[in-house]
Amino acid sequence: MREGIICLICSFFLTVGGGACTSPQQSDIAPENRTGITSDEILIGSSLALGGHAGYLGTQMLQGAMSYIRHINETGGIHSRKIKVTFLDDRYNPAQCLYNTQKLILEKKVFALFCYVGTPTTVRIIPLVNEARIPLVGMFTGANRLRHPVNRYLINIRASYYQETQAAVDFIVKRKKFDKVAVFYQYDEYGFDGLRGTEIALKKYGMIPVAKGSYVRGTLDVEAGLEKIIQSDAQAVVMIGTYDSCAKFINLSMERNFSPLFHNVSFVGSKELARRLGSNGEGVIVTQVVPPPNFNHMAKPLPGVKDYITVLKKYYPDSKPSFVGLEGYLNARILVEGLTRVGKDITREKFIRAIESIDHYDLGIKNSLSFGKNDYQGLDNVYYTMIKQGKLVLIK
Amino acid sequence: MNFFNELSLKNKIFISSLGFILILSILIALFTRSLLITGLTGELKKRGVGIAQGIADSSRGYILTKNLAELTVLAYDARLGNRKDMVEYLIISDDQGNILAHTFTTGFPLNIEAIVKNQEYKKENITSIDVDRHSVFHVVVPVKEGIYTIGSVQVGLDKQHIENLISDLRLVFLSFLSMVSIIFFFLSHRLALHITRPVTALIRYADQITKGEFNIISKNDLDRQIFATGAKDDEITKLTDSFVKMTSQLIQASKMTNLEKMSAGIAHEINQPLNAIKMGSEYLCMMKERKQKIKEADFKMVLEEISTQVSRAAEIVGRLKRFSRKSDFSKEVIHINDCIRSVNKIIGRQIFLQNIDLILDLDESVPFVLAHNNRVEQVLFNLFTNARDAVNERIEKSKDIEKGRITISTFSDNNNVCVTVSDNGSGIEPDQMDSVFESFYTTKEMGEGMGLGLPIIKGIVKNYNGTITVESIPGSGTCFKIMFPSHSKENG
Ligand SMILES: Nc1ncnc2c1ncn2[C@@H]1O[C@H](COP(=O)(O)OP(=O)(O)OP(=O)(O)O)[C@@H](O)[C@H]1O
Ligand SMILES: [Mg+2]
Repeated sequence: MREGIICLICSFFLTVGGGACTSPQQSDIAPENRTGITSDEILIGSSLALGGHAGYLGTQMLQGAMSYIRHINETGGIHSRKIKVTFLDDRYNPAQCLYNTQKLILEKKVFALFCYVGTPTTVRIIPLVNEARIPLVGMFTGANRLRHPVNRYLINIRASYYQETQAAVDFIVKRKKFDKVAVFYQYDEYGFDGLRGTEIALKKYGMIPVAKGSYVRGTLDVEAGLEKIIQSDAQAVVMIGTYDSCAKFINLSMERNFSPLFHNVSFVGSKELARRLGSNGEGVIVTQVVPPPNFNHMAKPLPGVKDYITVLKKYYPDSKPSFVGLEGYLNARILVEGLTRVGKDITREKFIRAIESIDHYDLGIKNSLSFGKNDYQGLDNVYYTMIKQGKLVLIK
Repeated sequence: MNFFNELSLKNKIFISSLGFILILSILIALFTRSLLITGLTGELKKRGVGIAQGIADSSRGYILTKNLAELTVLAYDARLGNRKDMVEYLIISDDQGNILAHTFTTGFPLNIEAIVKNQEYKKENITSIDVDRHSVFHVVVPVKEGIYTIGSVQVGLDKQHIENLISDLRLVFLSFLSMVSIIFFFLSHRLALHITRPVTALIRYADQITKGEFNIISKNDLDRQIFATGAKDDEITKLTDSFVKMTSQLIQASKMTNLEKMSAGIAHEINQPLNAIKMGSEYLCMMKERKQKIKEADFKMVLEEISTQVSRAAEIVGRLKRFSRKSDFSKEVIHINDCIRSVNKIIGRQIFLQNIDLILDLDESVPFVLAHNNRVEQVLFNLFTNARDAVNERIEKSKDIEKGRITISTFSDNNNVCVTVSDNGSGIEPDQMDSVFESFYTTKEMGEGMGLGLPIIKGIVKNYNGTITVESIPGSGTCFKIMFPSHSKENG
């Protein structure tokens, strides 16, 4: 009798409790989405700076990417579909970038987003990417926020700022055997990313920066930071800034006979930096996420770079090869590779799975590219270049 | 319901209190839920209006300059982080109801443009609408420049959000309720036990009385057992008091009826000595009137006879007194035959007058037993009257002319002293055999029998470690057999 009652009560609670636990759970598997795929076209959207102070970046990147895409379209397309890129100018304005992206997804109904330029702009659109579950391939930024937490819709191709600063620290500590490293950074998201990356890399060697100097974005007030770093008697300075302030920093310290190893990262804009430094630039190191896009100095050019220059010449004869352009070109290569791997029936999920399947892919730039199930960071290695007689030279 | 009725008192209390708390829990849960829903709905609306107002303030300048990009940023900012669960959409419109910016990323709901256009956007309001099969509170907040409205911010608040919030709470609430119920489960179990234990004890005693076990009932005994259960309730105490009183009264009452039954025989019995005394005294009076001289020897003889007869009457009265006295269960060494003869003296005459043969077949060599005369006499008296009643019933019913006969015999058997009382009366039906020892079982008319005779004597016999059994053939007779362990055996 008693046991019966206890059973009864237990079952009552189990049913009620069970009922409570089975709250509807949203599935993480997105339904197959074929938006932007027609019988003969694949619609791709891009919002990037085509005018304004960063217009150069967007234009170069777009030309690099488009030269390859036009090449593919002319040689039969992808499974007889042509790639159509809709690009909108956001003038490096995050608000405009968001507005453009909404338009691209909602009105233009593009299949994927492609070749975004800049950290503040790209970070803005992450919520849209998540909500629409639309892949974004290739971003001209190494920001950590686009890489962590891992997001399968954000497909990064170039190495991150963390990876660049890691490489810089490796070069300084392992190769040059320096143990006094200072950091000079721009006081914003980009600079913080680089600072954190440098500190993490130094920590692996049991070191901390001997000095940290910073300046506010858009200003050239580098003197205070420079003073701090000179006082610390650093042997090397990892610089996370833009060409104008970094050039001023280097020129000023040369004036004061302070000549440590200056190590910049790719975002600095190496060509302009070299131009501004003149003779002071001799020996300054810049890490790059793609190899230098010219082969005048090399006995044998990298095949990937050679291909880039060939298609660029063909479709944009007036345009000069550039780091940014090469990056755009490589982005296009990955986009095409992914679309090709999907096959005839293209959906967004299938496309992401195809991207995940790209493993040790040779782009002909001596830097193998791999994605994976939880790895949406394609290239992991960086290139070291040194300014020699005003030119950037790849060093081994 | 049948199932419930069949439960014991304890389980009834237990189940009903448990059921009560369960129903109460469910009611509380429902009540809290509705309270939560109203509270959360109010809170949701308040927050929705707050968000819309914030956006309205910041969007004023952009509406004027028609900066759609910045307006889009503002709209999306309203859905950042966990506000996304609450804010289904946010729309910024101009004073014509044209959408300037919105947060639809994947698709534009069909009816939304019409909804936005038809809003009374000049003042703040909240309506409940359906957008794409989604139930939302549509909050409208005007954007003003000076006193004129230049546009509006319209926010869709997901009603599902409230459900989600509640479902988060549900588990916590449910485990709390379960805990309360489990505590109450044990509590009500203990409570039921506590309440019912004394009652159960009383019921057990009542049962025992029905089975004829009177001897265990003494007030102290009962009190002790009931108090041992921890119940010191006044009601219960009163109940036990009256219970004990009633039982002893019943026993006494049954004895009184025995006395009534005896009275006829006793009257006859007492009449005899009285007659003798009367005869003696009349003789003495007559001699006195005649002034005749009575012989010394005669006079002495008459007086002695009167004295003997008085003693005899006194003895009868004494026996009566003894019989009606409440006596305890003290034990003495007695001879069973003495008891039989004593009872015979009380009732034998009466039985004889009813034309029934009473045959005593006594084995004088039976051993002594440990018992009490008075009690054993009570046992025998009851058996005698039952037998007599049965014989009379047979004769009355079947107009049988076979003469009634009651035989009492004693003998020893295996260290036991046995007494059998057999009659050629009406007998007992086989299916009634078990009932005869139950309290209040009687086949006799109202006022004639109480149905307490056999149960009481069963109790007495048991108290002296004896047994009582019955055999009967309906229509031809019954034999009750009592066995007491012999005293010599206990000594040996
Ligand atoms: N010798 C017997 N022959 C037949 N039936 C008997 C005999 N003795 C008892 N009974 C049956 O058993 C019943 C119960 O007997 P019990 O002595 O307990 O009560 P009672 O005689 O009816 O009333 P009382 O309380 O006045 O004795 C009787 O009513 C009768 O039906
Ligand atoms: Mg009787």
